[in-house]
Amino acid sequence: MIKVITGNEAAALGALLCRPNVVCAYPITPQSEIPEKLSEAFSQGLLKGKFINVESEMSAIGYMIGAAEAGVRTFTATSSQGLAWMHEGLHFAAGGRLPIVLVNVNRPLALPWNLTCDHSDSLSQRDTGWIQFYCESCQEVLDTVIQAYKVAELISLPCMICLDGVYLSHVSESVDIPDQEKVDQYLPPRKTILEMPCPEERDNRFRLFKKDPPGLADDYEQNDFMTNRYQLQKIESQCADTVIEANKEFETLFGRGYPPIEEYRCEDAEVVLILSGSAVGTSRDVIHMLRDEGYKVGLVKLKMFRPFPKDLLRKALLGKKKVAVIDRDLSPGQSGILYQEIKWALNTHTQRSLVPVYGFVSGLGGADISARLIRRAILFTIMEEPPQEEVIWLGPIKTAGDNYDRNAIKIS
Amino acid sequence: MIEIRIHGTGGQGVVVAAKLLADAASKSGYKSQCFSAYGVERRGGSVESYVRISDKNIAIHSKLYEPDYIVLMEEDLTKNPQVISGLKEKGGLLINSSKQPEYFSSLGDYRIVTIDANAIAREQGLTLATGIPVINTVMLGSTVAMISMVELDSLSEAIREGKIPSAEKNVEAAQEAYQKTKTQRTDTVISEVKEPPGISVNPFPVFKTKMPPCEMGTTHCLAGEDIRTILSLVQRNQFEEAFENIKLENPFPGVCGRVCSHPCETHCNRNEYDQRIAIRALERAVFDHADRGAVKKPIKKKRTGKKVAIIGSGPAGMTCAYFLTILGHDVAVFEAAPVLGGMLRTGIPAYYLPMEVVDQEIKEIIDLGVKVKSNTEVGKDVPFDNIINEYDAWFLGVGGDVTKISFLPPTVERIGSLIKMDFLGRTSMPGLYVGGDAASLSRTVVEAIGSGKRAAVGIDIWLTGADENIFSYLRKGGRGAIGFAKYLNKNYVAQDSALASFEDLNTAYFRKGPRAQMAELPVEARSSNFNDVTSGLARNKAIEEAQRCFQCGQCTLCENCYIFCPAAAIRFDRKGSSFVIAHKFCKKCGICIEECPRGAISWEVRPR
Repeated sequence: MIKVITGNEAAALGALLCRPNVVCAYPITPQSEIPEKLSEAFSQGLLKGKFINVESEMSAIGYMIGAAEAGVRTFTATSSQGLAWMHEGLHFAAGGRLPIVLVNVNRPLALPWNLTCDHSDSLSQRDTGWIQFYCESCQEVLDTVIQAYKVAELISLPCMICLDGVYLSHVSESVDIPDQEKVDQYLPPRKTILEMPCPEERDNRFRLFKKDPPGLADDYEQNDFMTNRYQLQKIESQCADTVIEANKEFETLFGRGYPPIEEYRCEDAEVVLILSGSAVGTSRDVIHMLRDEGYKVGLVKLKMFRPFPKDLLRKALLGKKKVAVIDRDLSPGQSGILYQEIKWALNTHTQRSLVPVYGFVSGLGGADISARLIRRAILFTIMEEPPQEEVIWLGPIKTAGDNYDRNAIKIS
Repeated sequence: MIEIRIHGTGGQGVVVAAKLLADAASKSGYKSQCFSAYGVERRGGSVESYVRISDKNIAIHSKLYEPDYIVLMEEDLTKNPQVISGLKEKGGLLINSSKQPEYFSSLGDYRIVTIDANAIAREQGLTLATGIPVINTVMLGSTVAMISMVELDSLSEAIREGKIPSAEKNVEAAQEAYQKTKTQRTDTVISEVKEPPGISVNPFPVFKTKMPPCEMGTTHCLAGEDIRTILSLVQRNQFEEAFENIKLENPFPGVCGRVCSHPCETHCNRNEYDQRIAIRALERAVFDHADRGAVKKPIKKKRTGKKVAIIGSGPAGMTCAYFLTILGHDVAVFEAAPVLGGMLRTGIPAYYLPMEVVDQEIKEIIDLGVKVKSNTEVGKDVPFDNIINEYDAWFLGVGGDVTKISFLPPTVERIGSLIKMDFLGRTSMPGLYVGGDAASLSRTVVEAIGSGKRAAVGIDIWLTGADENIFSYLRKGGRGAIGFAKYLNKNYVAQDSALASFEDLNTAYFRKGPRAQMAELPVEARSSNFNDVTSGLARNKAIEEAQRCFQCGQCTLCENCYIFCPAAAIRFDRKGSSFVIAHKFCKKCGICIEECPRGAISWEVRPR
C-alpha cells in the first residue's frame, strides 16, 4: 500500500510493524510525532505491551535497558539534546549487548538554538558502540527500522537509525508500506539470549546478567571487562556481513534494499562524492546531470557509519582519482567527521594509497545542501588542487571583514 | 517533475492543502513529496508549503527554489513581491481573487489564473464560525485543473480520506473550482510586460510614516493643519499644546471649529469602519478648553522693517496679517467697515458663529502688533497710489464683490470676476498679492485662510529675496495647503507621498464606537433668538472622541510589532524614542506589517 507520510510517521509505522512490547520515549522537536503515533497504537490495542510516559530521555533509555534485558522487543526515539542526555545509557546498552532500536531525528545541539538538521548529535555518540544507520528517504526510514531489529537481535547490539530533522522528519513522501505478514516472516519474535544460535552469546560470562538471583551484575572483574570489550570489537567487525545478509533477505522479500554503502554510477568514475543522509538523494540528481555533461563522476552513499564499513569503502574508493566528502557535521578544531574516517580508511591501510580527499562542510544547523552547492563542490574537486585546509566551507557564511581568516576556503 | 509552492497565512490550511495534493498525486500513480515552512505556527503568520510531483522516484531532498506553479491563497499576497520570487518563466500563477487574470498582468510573464475561492466556499457553506471562508480545498480543485496532471477523482478521494470536517462539502467545492478553472485559458501568458516589477528585488519591512487622508487624501485640510498630531495631543488631554499646534498653521481655530466645511472629515478612514472622527468639533473643543494662560504666544521673528498693507479684514486678510507679523514685518490692515472680520461677521449668522468668537480671535491677531485702519476704504478714503508708495507689498483680501476693486489699475489681470493669481498668490502686478474670495470661487473660510497663509509666505519670499523653489517643499497634500511651521523652521523636506489607506490598517485592534455628537438646542429655544445652536464637546467627551482616531500611518509605539515579531528583530533605536527593524534578524515574514494597527510599516523594495 502506497501512502504519503512524513519521515516521522514512517519511523513510527516501521516500529509498529515490528511489534515492540515496550516503547518509552520523551518528546522533543523534531521527533515528537513518533511517540505520538506509537502511544496511539498502544491505546488502540495495535501493540501489546506498554507505552511508558517518562520525564526525560535519561529515564527513557533506562526503561529500554531494563526491558531489553528482560527479553522483550523495545523501541525509543529521540533527537539532539535528548540523545546527549541519554549518553551514559547508550554506553550501558552497548556494553550490555542489548538489542535496543532507537530512532534519532538529527538535530544539532545548542548553542545557538536550532531545531532543524545536522548530524553532529548522533556522530558525537560515535564511540558508544551502537550501530548507526543514516537514511536518505522516508521509505528507507521505514525499511531500516525493520532491518535494524533483524541485525540488532542477530548480533545482540543496540542500533540507532538516524533521519534528517525537517528534511526527512517533516517531509511527506510516497512510501510503500509493507504487509504485516511479510514483516512477521522477515522478523520472527525476539529470541532470548539462551535461544541464540551462537555459543559465545549463550555463555553468560560476557553478559552483565546473573541468573540467580536475576539482576545486573556489579561485581565484574577487570579481566571480564576486557573480555567483554574484545567480544564487542569482534562482533562489530563482523557486523557489515550481518547487515549485508539481512539486507539480502529483505530484498528478496520486499524487492528493495539498502547495503551499508551504495555505489551509484561509480563504474568508470574518476571523482567520487561521498556523503550520508537526505542530501544523498539531491546528489543523485546532480551526478546524473554532471554525467550528462560528460564528467566522469560517481556517488557513494554511506548508510552504515558504525561499525565503519572500511573494507567496503576501500573496495569502492581505492583507485579513484579524487574523493569529495560532504559532512553535515563538524568536529571543531579538527574537521568534518566523515572526512576524518574516510581519510583514515583510505590512508592507514597496509596498501597505502594516495587518493586525495576533499573535505566539505555544509548544511550545518539545517542550512540547505542544495543541488547547486553539491554541483559546485564536485566541480571544485575536479578543477582544483587538493587544498591544505581540512575544511572547505560550502554554503553562505557571513564573515565580511575578518582578515585573519583570509585563507579559509568558502564556496557559496 | 513539477514543483508547486503554496502561499497563505496560518489558519488557511496551507499545510493540509499541500498534503492533500501530494496524496492525490500519489493516488493518480505519481510519486509525490511535500513539506512546509513557517516562521510561527499560529493563525495569521505567513506559511508556505511545497509539493513535488513526478512520474519517477523523487530523489531530491533540498528546498524548493524555482517552482513551476505558485498558488496564492489570498489576493493581498500579490502586494508582497517576494511571493512570486523564483517562479519559472511562463510558470503558472493561481490567485484567489474575484478579479480577471488581466488585472494581475503587471506581475510578470506568467500564466495567470484566478478563481473566486471565497465565493465558492461561502456558497458551499465552508465557513468558520467567524464567517471566514475555508478555501484550501477549493484552491486545490483549481490547482489540479491548472497543472493538468493529477486527476480530479484522486483529489476527491484524498479529501474524503483526509479526516477533514465536512469532507463532502469540500469535495463539491473542489469540483466546482475545477470546472470553473477548466473554462479559463490556463496555457497562455496574459501579460506583455517586459520588466516585471518586484521580481529582481528583495523586499524587507521598514518603518515608514504615511500621510493620513485628513492631511493628504483627495480632500484634506486646506489650512494645512497637522490634524493627526493635534488629535494625538487631545488624546492625551494636552489641549494647550494642541491649541499652539493649530495656531502655528491657522489663526482661527474657534471660527474653523464652528463653520469650517471640514474637507478633512470627508475621507477619514474611520468612515469605512464605523463613523468618521468629528475633527471640526474637536477643533472647537480645543478652542473652548485650552487654558489661554498656559498657552504660549507665537514668537515673532526679528523686525525686518518692511511694511505690508492688507486691504480687507476678512479671514484671508487677517490670516495674511497674522503670519506676516510673525515673520517680522510691519502690517497695516485697511477695512472699509467700522468692525473687522469681513464675511465672518457679516456673512455668517450668529447662531453658527457667535461674534464673541470672532472678536476674540481677531483680538489675538491684533495683539501681536497689527495696525488696524477701520472705516478706511481704499480708493475713497485713501488713494491706492498712496498705499503703493507707502508700503513695500500689498495683499488684497477684499472678498467676492467686484465693485470693491475698482481702484485697481487696469494692468492687473483678471479671469471673469476673479483676480488672476499664481500658486504663490501673486497677481500680474509685482508685489501685489491676492487671496480669499477675490481670487477663488470656493467661498469657504478654510480656503480663505489657506490662501492668506500662502500669500503671507509668498510676500515674505518676495520681500526677503528667498528662493521661491522652496515653496514646493512646504506643500501639504495636493490641493494648495502649505505648512507655515515648516517655512518658519526652515524644514525644507518634501512631504511623504504615501497615503495611509484603509487597507493599510489592521482595524482588528480598534473598538467600534459612534461619532461624538454635540448637544443642540431644542427647536423651541432657537426660534426667537440668534443663540449658538450647538454647545460644543465637554472636555472628557472630546478626549474620548480623539481616542477614536486611528492615527493612520503613524507609529505610536504601541509595541504590537515588538510583541509579534517571531525573530525579535524589532528594537528601540539608540535614543529609545522610536522603533527600528534589525534587518540582520528579520525573516521578512511580514507579520509586523500585517499586525501594525496603523499601517506605519511597509515593504521597502530595493534592487538586489
